[in-house]
Amino acid sequence: MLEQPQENLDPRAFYAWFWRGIFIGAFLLVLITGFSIINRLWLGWGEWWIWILLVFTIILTLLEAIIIPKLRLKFWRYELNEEEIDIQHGILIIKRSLIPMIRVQHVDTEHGPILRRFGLATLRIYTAGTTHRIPALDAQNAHALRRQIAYLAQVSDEDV
Amino acid sequence: MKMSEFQRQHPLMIPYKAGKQFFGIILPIILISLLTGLREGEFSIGWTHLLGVLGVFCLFLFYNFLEWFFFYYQVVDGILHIRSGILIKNERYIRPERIQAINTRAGIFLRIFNLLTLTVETAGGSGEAELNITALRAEEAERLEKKLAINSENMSPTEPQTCTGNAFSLSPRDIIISGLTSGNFLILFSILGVILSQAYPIIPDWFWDFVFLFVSERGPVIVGFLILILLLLSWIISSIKEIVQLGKFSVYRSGDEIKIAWGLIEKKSMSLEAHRVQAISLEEGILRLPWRLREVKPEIVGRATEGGEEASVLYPLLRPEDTPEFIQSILPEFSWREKLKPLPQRARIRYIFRTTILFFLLSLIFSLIPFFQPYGLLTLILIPPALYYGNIRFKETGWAIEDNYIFIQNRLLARQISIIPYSNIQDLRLTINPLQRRKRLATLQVGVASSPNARIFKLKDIDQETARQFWYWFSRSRS
Repeated sequence: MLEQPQENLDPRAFYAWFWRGIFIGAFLLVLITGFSIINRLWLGWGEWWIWILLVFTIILTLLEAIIIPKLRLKFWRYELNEEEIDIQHGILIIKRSLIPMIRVQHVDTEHGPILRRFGLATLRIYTAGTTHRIPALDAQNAHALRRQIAYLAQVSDEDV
Repeated sequence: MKMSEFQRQHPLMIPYKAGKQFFGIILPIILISLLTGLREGEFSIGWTHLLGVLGVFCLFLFYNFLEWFFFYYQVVDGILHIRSGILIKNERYIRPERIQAINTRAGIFLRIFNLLTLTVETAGGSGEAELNITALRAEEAERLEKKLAINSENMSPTEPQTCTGNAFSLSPRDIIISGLTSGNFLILFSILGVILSQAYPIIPDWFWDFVFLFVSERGPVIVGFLILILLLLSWIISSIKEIVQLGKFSVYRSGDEIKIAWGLIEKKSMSLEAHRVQAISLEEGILRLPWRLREVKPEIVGRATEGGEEASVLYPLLRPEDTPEFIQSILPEFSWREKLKPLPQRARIRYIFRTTILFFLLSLIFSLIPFFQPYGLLTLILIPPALYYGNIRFKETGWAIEDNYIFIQNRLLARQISIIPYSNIQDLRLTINPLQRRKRLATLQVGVASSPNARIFKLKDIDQETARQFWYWFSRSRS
């Protein structure tokens, strides 16, 4: 329908998301182990449902750690010029957003422990009321983009 | 100058506010205790009760005396300075450029003494954003308002547009129509129902004997009849309430200022800067649909959240033939267009499906579970109307792009036509889900700033070609 935005996310994003998926899976595993111990000791409810939970957790972890990050990385695109920011994302449901520079109220970058480990950062763009983000950019690049957007948003000076 | 000295509010503020708080807090308690007392059959008011109530009122009086005593205000160089607080002292300076709106209000009690309440609204969503000066002499309020308004006008960077200073006001006939068609009676109906079910012990026995006499013979008829009476009653009451509240509604535009005044008995007024109106919606309620009578609702940015309920309406009843003139004279920043473009035919089935699916699932459940038989099957009756309603929703959804405006028409129960100027759109979003992709459809979302929360206008299942058109229209680098 429309030509795609040009830029991709940093490929390292895959590793960051991979580890996040693994951590989520590990956390669920700990929970399940805890439940099954409690079950053995006090409840004595039978064990089949624990196996179901385990299978469920493995599938979820595979999805969260490998399949979704791959697809997400493939479908996340953005493009930026002097007048606007164009973001496209979504695996099944494709979402395309257009944010004029003059509507940007402020921009910030953010990175949690996993993202920082891989030298990545998330860029967030705020308008009067809505928020948009570009996740897992190269940290240097994210900071540069932040400065650039802040500059451009200030320069283009239509009234709000 | 007198204005540059600290002033107190008018002393009548004390009984006024005390009375207001008293009736607001104590009266419901008294009523409830009376009702429960009646129910339990022990009903007596002694001197002690009356004294107790009087004592509470005196406490309210004393508290408000202190409030009055410690409240001062003054305007120095256009800056409103307010000093208040009994124990916790509070000093506030309000710069004119931060003032968003100045309203005056006068209840029946205050009006007898020619007094007003002045409300100063400043930017920001918190409760701190609104400031009341209760009980001012009318001339004093006017002087204060002028002093603050003149200053804020001087500071405001935008050139006031040359506007003819047009006014629109509701004719008495329209006031009555507006009351009769407001559709608020359904809420009142449910409230009355609850009250009736609570209060039935105090209805005399002979009435119930009378009712049961009929119920035993033709039960459903009489119950239906009772419901009908209740409906009619709540319709009449809510109509009168609406007429009294919105009576003498008028809106006036001069420069950047929109002034609204309303109220038959309790007169209220408020003013707001036109540039804060980000988008407007014309809403045609169900009872008004046949005549396409509209209520004009604004999306306003930067307003205090408190006490703004009535201000959510710019005009309560607009006729189709008056609409272009209204927009042109009151809101010239907006545009009007009667005919909108329809959605593509292939979107129809999606609208019908979305509307019907819930009813369908519900009736499936009710028809399959034996517990609900045989009445569960009755829910199947709901499906044809749901299909019909879905089709109506499809037919009444429309759009247009004209110059610098987007028009979006949606139908839920009411029909709503929204007008959004290009310069007020914060962002634009297109989404395509897999089912839409097969049919070359897309959903459009347009974000507009509004207080306290942003408003997102949605248009579902437009042709992808249309979506593209919206995109290019909005894009600054590609158009």
